[in-house]
Amino acid sequence: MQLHTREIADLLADESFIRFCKGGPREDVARWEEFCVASPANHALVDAAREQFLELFSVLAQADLVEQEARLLKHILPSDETLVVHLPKLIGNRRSRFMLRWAAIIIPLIALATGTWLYKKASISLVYKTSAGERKNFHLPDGSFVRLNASSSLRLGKGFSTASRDLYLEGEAYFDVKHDANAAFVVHTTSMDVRAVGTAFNVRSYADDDSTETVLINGVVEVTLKGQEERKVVLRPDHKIRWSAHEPAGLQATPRTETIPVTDVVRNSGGDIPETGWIHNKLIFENEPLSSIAVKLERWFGVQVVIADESVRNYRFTGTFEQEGLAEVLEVCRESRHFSYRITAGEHPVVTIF
Amino acid sequence: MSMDDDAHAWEGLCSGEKEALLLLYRKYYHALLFIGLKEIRDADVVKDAIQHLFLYLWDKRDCLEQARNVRSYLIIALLRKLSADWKKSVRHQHLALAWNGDADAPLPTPEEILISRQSQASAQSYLMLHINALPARQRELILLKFYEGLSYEEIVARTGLSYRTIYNKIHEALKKLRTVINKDHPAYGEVMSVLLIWLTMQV
Repeated sequence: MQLHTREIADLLADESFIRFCKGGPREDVARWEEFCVASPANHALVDAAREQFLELFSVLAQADLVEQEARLLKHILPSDETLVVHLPKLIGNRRSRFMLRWAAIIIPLIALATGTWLYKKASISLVYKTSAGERKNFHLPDGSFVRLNASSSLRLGKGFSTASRDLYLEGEAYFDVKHDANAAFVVHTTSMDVRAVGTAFNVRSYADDDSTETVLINGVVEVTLKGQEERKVVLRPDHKIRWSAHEPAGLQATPRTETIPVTDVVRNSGGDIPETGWIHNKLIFENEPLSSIAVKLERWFGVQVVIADESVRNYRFTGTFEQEGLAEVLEVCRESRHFSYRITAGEHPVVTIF
Repeated sequence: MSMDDDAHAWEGLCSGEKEALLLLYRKYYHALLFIGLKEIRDADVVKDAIQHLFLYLWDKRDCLEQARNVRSYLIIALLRKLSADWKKSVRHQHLALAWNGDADAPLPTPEEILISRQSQASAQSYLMLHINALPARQRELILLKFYEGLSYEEIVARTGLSYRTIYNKIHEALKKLRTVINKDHPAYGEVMSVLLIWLTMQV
């Protein structure tokens, strides 16, 4: 196959060949059938090239359908569901030639470590895990695709993929859900349950920050807030929601009536969405304080980061990294605002910033 | 999928089941898109028309008549909309009259047959994830050529770019894309290298 790459590309570039793949006009079909008959090698080549074209076409067609379906859902959901919080902004992309994306629902959830959320009562059958500094792809038993970010674990509820599809996430993951109208796909976390409505999506939940943040890039999800089960939020593309499962101290007796903060996702100057860069192996800081960058570095590189000088904590940095190592990232940051650091190598490397 | 399934879904739609509407949408979206594209070579216009058609069905779900042939109904309704007498037909005849000639419903489009619904959707989505990471222009080019099926002349006319400009814009990014995919998902490296070479040849 590898040897044929050049020739496959030749065929794909040929408009007559594409018409043939689509069963097009008789003269095109005749031409390529003749070509096939000429030699077994030709026949194999035509089969391989047609395979490539079909693959690509199917991918694009499915992605388009998912996107268009999400667009339709945006319009029919609000009138259909009760108790929906109407979000302030509709994304108007009627002429969205550039907008074809796999419906990706990006839901980073940052939750307090309670240790109790693991649903002891739920019988758990399968667990996927990543360690610090590691990102992995998995296929779930139902055919859905998962990309799991560092230091994360994803547990599947027992009986997954038959009657229901419940997952319990700690950490962060991108989900691409295989559609199944009979089995709802629900990701449970400390602060929110996220239900995919018909399409594909991505979820994350780390246990060491104090609020939950959900970002929806494309598609439709229905979010149920823990402690607020009567309120469901239907998120729309390019919106972000932040919520904490834990009531602020001293407010326990007060019903939580505050509005749920839904904001727009902002692309940075490079056109990336900071919240979802990790899917494409990008580590992105957008005017972010060093205190929060430290947490990202810990997960990304699998190290421990200690900030020894309090005055440095609030230094803010912006940057996008792809191939760079830990030291390179620190060096680049240091150029815009000076700080010192020390890396102690070993089985559990420690970075001390001061 | 048979006509019985359609009739069942149609009934569901009439009684307000959202899932029935979505079922019909998923089943006929590509048929409608590619039949529409034969009439109007602008996917945005056709996609908008399809959206409006299904939103119309949803809004009017309480007073829809029984459909004998859902596929024909949808196709003819779309074509009417595209040929701009949509409003007239709604006002004068109610939509029910739009599909009486169900015998001459268009045949399945070649594109519908191509789409392998049961193929490895999850693995494909990974490829899509990376195609989507491309800058808008590059993604657009791949869509126009491989999905909407435009010819080179049509692409040049649509984008207003020369072959040379198109090539320069996308070559570098695709090379990078191939590296990323090879690392994560070697099976797709080949598809990407094919794309890369295809694009290289368009200069």
